[in-house]
Amino acid sequence: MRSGIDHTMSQTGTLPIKDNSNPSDSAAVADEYATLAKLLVLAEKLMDEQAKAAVLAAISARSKEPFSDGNLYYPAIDSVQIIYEGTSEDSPARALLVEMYTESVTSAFVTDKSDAVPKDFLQDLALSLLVNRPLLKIHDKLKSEFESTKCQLLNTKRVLADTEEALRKAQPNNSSLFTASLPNSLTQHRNGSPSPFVPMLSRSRGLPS
Amino acid sequence: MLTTSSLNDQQLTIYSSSYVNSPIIRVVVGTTIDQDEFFVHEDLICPRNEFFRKAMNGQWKESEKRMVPLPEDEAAVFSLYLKLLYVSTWYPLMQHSL
Repeated sequence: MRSGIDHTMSQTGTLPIKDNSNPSDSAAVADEYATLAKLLVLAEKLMDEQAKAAVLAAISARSKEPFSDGNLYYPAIDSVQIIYEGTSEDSPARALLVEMYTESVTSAFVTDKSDAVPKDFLQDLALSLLVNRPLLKIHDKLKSEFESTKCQLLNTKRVLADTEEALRKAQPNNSSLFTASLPNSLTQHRNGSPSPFVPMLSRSRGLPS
Repeated sequence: MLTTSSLNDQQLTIYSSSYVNSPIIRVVVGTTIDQDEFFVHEDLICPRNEFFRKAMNGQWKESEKRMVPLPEDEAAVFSLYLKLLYVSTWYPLMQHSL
């Protein structure tokens, strides 16, 4: 267990955690987390705020760094037990665990392990999941807004295609046809310089200008 | 932010000599069956560790004997904690970010 953090404290200024150059399995990550969890509980007991912050940062950093197999691992149930047994209700370590599990927990966690999960953790997790749940009502409303936006976009696209078609057919010096087929927003060049679209389209399609 | 390579003598004084000549506290971790002893500088641990500060403040027998028992804790974990203490004072960068 000691080997988890026993590499010489690195020069990087962070609490070093086991380097993952050696291939290993997920049990090794779980051990690392359990060690960090115990260290955090000790720091809490000894009331060393600096150490608590450092260990918490180490746990958070570990969860964002892929293990040697390329996967990200979160603290397993043993670490959850250690932290829930050794910290108080408002502990930021508890909050971090809840945050991680809110993001990643699957239903198997509750069906397979509910006996081992601290009751307080289940409660915190349930609350967090409820708070973060996308409500069905809101989902439906957003969906209909999305659909109507999609329709508008399709319409706009159609108008653009028609316009392009009209431009392609139009003689560039025949201004009456040109202006009649363009939407208002595209006619601002009517009285000044010729529309910048026209020569470009003519060139690219090999039409006479 | 400071880095280790930019430490000059003055910074070394600030960061390292404040506790090195302070008295030692003996820490006995674990129960009698599985027990380990550790030694830690008082001025390193007390300013940041309320538990030790209280144990050393004169009202307890611990402060007379300069010994703090931690019967419920694991030696391996306490050893990590001590390393964290010593290293975090040595690397100003770490101290800063803790």
